[in-house]
Amino acid sequence: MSAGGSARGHRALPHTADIRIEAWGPTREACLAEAVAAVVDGFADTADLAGAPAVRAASADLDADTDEDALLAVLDEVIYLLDTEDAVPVTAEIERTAAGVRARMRLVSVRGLDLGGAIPKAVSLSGLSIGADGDRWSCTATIDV
Amino acid sequence: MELIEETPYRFRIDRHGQMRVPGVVYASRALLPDPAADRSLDQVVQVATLPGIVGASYAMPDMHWGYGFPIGGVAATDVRDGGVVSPGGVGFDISCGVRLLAADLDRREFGPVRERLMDALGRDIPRGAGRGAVWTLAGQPEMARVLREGSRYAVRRRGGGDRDLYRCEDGGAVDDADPEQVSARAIDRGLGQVGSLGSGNHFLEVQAVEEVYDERVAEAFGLRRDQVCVMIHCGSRGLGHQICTDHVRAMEKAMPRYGIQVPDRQLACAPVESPEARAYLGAMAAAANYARANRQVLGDAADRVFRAVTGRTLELVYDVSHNLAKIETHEVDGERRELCVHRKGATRALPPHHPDLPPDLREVGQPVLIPGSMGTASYVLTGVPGGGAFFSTCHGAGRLRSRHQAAKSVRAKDLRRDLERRGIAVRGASARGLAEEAPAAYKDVTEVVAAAEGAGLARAVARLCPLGVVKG
Repeated sequence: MSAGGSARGHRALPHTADIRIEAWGPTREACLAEAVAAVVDGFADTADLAGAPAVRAASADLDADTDEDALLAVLDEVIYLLDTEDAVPVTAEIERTAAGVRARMRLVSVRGLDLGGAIPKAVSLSGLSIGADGDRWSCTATIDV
Repeated sequence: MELIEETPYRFRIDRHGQMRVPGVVYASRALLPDPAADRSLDQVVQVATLPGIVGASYAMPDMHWGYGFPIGGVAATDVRDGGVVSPGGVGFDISCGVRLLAADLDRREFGPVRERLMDALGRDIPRGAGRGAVWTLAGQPEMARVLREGSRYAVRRRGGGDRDLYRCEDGGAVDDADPEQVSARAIDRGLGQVGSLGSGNHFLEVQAVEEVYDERVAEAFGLRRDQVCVMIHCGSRGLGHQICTDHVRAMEKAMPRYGIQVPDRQLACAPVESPEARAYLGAMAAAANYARANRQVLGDAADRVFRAVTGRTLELVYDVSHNLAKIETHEVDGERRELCVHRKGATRALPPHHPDLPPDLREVGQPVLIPGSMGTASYVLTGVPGGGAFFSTCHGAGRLRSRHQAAKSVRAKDLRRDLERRGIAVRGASARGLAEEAPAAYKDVTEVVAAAEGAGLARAVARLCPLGVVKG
């Protein structure tokens, strides 16, 4: 978790059964990258991840017509990689493309990591938001675990 | 919002705003959610706005905050009167449910084999994030068989008997599954997970029948005092979550065509007779079949462990979902009507003599399986004549505190020591996962069951206590 006053960061918000995250950054893409970090923080220890050997770099071109679509697409991709490749991103860089966004991630294997119970499985449309206030982008999302 | 106490176990929210029907909350005053921390009562009100909803928007005693629908929500819509289906009313984990198996083993015989049995279960029951399952499917053609035939295919391919089917809701599979409506992404996520618990609040627990409240019914279910049992709680894994994700988004795009507006995006819905709803119901049925196959294969794996370690077998008591929508016929305002009944975190509870019961349960009603939180009691209930909310009841203890709060207030080491001191062996839990699922994060399951009984939704048959847990 990053400090609330910094230019970019993320934190967990209270939710009874699932995980609710907030992320922010100076650009939409930075905000999306922080959202990825927030979801990973929800179930993995950052120190464990830093020490894990990288499996590979991944790049995904994701279609998105709107900012909300971009947020959903990026978080969906994290969940998909976890379920199909047993992999979790330790870094994520997001860039804008003509069709949506490109997510470049460095992945590590979750095998052997001491993961928490709150493994993300889907992104809810309830309470989903993303937008800019001046030069600060922020987003919220509720993740089913 | 005003809650009107009709009885000590039934509260009404009168129609206001866009509500088409009232809200009805089956709970004791003590179990009602705290509106400051949990918005599930608002969600009961929002569900009451769905097109075609009949009766009331119901909440069960274990209700808590979900998305769109509350967890513990029941809503039925009239299929012939523009009634809708909402994937959010089923939930992400389609056909998440509980399977209870009874061992031919007495509690006092468990002690000597406890460590060996729990070690073997810890080794053979896949759990946690990502891939890793009992059954490696031979690609997409075999996945299509699982999606169409559910437990029936699993029993044929992996072993099992007739009882595994007639004691499973829908005989182990629903017939209207349509794998064509399941996306490639959902298939990808599901391929490596048939026969796995997953994570979160999912588990396999070894239990003992601690108390029997109705000998006749318990005997018909296949339960007796001091008997060792295995309870499995899990669902349709990544496949079900992806199906819900895909179809909620498709329905949200389609809603303007049907002139539907909803107060929460996760309530996205479409008329049951629309192409979007038919597509969802076909995919949902496929996920339900996947979930039944998943629990069948896990039950079979547990049976193999029991045979190897104790020489005894496991026999199915029942397998029932608590996240599902079903087309059912019920009497509403004196008329038989075809309804789409959504149960999200709620269990169907058929009364004795219901035509959908298998012959050996016809006299006693459907077993309703209510897992408690980790380390606490679980209950077996049965349906009752005139059961409310279209024959539905609670599904578990119901979450009270967030994972974050639980992890902050409970030390995993202390919790594990406390469980071990009480004779409950724990396998497979990470420190964080264990703390997040601490019993203090949940309501008291005994209070929940008492409220369900008090409200006339079901009645208790037996209480089970934990002996060992394999945490998802």
